[in-house]
Amino acid sequence: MREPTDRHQARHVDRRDQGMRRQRLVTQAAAGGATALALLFGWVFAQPAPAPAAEQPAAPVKKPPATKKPATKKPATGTDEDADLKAPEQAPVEEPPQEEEAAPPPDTQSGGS
Amino acid sequence: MRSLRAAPHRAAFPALGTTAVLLVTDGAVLAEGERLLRAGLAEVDAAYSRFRDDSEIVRLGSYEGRAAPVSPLLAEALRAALRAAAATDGLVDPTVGQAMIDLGYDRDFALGPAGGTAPAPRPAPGWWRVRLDPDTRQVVVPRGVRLDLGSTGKAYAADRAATRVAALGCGVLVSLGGDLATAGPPPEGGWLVGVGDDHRAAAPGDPVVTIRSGALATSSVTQRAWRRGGRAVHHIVDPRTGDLPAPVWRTVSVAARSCVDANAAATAAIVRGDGADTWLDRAGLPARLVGHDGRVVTVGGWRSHA
Repeated sequence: MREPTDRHQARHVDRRDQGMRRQRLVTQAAAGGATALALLFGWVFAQPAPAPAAEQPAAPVKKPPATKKPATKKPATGTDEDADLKAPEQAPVEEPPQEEEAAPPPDTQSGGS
Repeated sequence: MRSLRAAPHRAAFPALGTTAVLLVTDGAVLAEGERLLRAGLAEVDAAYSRFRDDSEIVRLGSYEGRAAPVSPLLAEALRAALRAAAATDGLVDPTVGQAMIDLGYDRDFALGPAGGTAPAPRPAPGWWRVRLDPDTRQVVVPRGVRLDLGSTGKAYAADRAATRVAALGCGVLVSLGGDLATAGPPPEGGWLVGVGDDHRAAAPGDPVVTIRSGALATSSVTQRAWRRGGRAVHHIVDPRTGDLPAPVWRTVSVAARSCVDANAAATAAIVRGDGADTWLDRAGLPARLVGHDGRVVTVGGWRSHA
């Protein structure tokens, strides 16, 4: 004959506490796992693409034409035939000095401005 | 026999901060010629005056180094300026805009240049940095580079105007501040042009020359001169230093096939200083050079009576 046990709480209450603790544990583990996964994915995608081991041929991606950059070096001169100052067909001829009364005024004046 | 010669018909008016003179051999076209000249100079002012905030050349700065579309007129003027720069080995350089501002020439000269202290001179950025595609009429001016077509721009305007007026069917001479271009048949005996320091008035002893075609331009440090930072300065800058050229030549007059070429050669001779007479002679350009000491040298077939 078994002796009676002194129990303060009913058996079904004890089982309910165990269930709640287990549930909390599962929830915390799931949250921790999700955080770890998020960190892992973030780290993975933040890594730069690995550099090619050898020079790759240019990818056939069409780029818009770039604006021509200003030259940074002075070009060689003297190669462009058009870049010569051209002499007149006839050189100017100075008029001989004349008496003031005999000399009409010039049509116009070339001088500094 | 100058006394028997009929003087050409003449119109004169202020333009581009200087004086525009139109001479034609046929008085019947003078009024229409003047109208064409005024219209052409108004276009030039709108295209490349650096003293107008709304001019094309000033607005190029807002592109900050990107390709900018330009009008046919500005494209041609830029092309002439870059060609002149190449032909003078950069002694005439359109990128001297900032150097001119630093010297105080930052507004219309009639308003008076800026006073105060000038910053230390800096070489011009270099004409070769400006990229012009004449076909697409696009230009790339590097960020911070200020263009000044003052030297060749006026000359290009004279060439352009002379050609346009000559299309009326007469002989034409257009002078813009003493830089003059001719087109069409000359008057009997040719065009008589006084040559001196100042385009506004002849000084005693200034020679008078006859030209029958082409152009004649004079650059002088005696005009557009002012004081800045305790020294006398003027409007001709050495692009290599951003400062005034060495004081060798006071005034240089050059004849060439076009006014742009004549102006570029005259300005380059002032900048070059020593050896400019030899350089002009080798280029076959008739020229008259007056030194700061008053000596006169003529080269390149310029026939002098002095």
